[in-house]
Amino acid sequence: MMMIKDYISISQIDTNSSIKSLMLYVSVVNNIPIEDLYEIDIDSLVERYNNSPFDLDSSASKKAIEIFGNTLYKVECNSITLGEFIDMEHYISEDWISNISEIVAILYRIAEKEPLKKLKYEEYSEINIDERAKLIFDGVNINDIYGSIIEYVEWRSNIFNSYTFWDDGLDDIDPDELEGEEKEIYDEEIERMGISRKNMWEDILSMVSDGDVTKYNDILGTNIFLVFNTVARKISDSRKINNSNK
Amino acid sequence: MIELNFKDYTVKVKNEASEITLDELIKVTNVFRDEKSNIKIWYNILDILSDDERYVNMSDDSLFDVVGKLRINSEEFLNDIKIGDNTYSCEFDGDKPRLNLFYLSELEDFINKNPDAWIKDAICLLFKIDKNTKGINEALTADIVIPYINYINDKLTTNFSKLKDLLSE
Repeated sequence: MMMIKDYISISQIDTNSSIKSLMLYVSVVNNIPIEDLYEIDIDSLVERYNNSPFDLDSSASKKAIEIFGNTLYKVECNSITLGEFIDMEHYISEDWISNISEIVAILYRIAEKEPLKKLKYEEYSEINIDERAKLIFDGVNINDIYGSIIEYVEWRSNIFNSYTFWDDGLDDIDPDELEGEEKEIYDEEIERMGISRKNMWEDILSMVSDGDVTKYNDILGTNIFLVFNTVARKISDSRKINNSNK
Repeated sequence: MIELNFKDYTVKVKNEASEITLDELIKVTNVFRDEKSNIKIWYNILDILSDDERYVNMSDDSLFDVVGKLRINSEEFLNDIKIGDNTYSCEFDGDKPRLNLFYLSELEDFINKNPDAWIKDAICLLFKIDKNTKGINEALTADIVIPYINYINDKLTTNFSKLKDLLSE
């Protein structure tokens, strides 16, 4: 059994330091203190490495996990709110392996389970992600949650592919084929998109709320599809008005 | 010490390993590592070991004469090193320094992270010396350090390619 903290440590192995990398890997996968490997010879270390295969198993994912006596249930991707989606983007888009514990803290939640009823999840806004992530880091088996993360990442890709307002129209252009003025225009557009992405979530909130900041919290707690459908509709309406004014 | 006598001045060149300080040894080993041209190697080394940059005025014959007198090697392992009032010891397995996987992994790290000055890190690790110890540069002369460096290099290179191949699979 490999805990998330162990998986992260072997994922971040510095391959420039090969002896240390092997020792760390063998230590983590076999759950033995690294000090126990100091006195073996190189050949034995290599043999142990060869005899210590570790593969992630995305099919072993669990619908519920235990951390320190608490059961956390996996949320359905389709029930994710805008606020949860934004937080997930923060953790996934920057070195997601380092942030596995935080991602799991969002994907798995405490819930009331009554007979013949749907799970009633805790309020997302009340969760202390950092504190919970620390417990998950130490106490959750990577194979219990890895499949859920992969499932979420695939679902996320479908979301981005489903809504055309994410399409910047630049994906089909090969910048290496551009020269002179064309290249300048392309670079300016890339820079503009970069600035736009920084403010993307705020722009979406502003658009959906018609600029009313008092509605932001409600929108953050609204289902992602409802929000994105609204954004898509507003953009479409806006284009129609612009076209009719030409 | 070799003396190169020119018409109006004399240039002294350290030629015995026991005269060469740790900092000078580090520079010398880096020259061997980085330079490809033989003439450049020896001129650069004389630049490190001489007390006057006018050594450049020597003839080709003098250069080869000086190079022939350089004794920058040593084979005897010293168990103890004295720096100031303190004596520092290295662990041994039989007649060779103890280089278990802990030491080898740390030494490999030093070479990767600090390739220009790993020698000092290595000796400090093996003898458990604080790198900032006063007088360390003068006390750790080449005759003391070289046997350890050769042994470390030998040990690491023996295993290095095998491990690299394994990790790249």
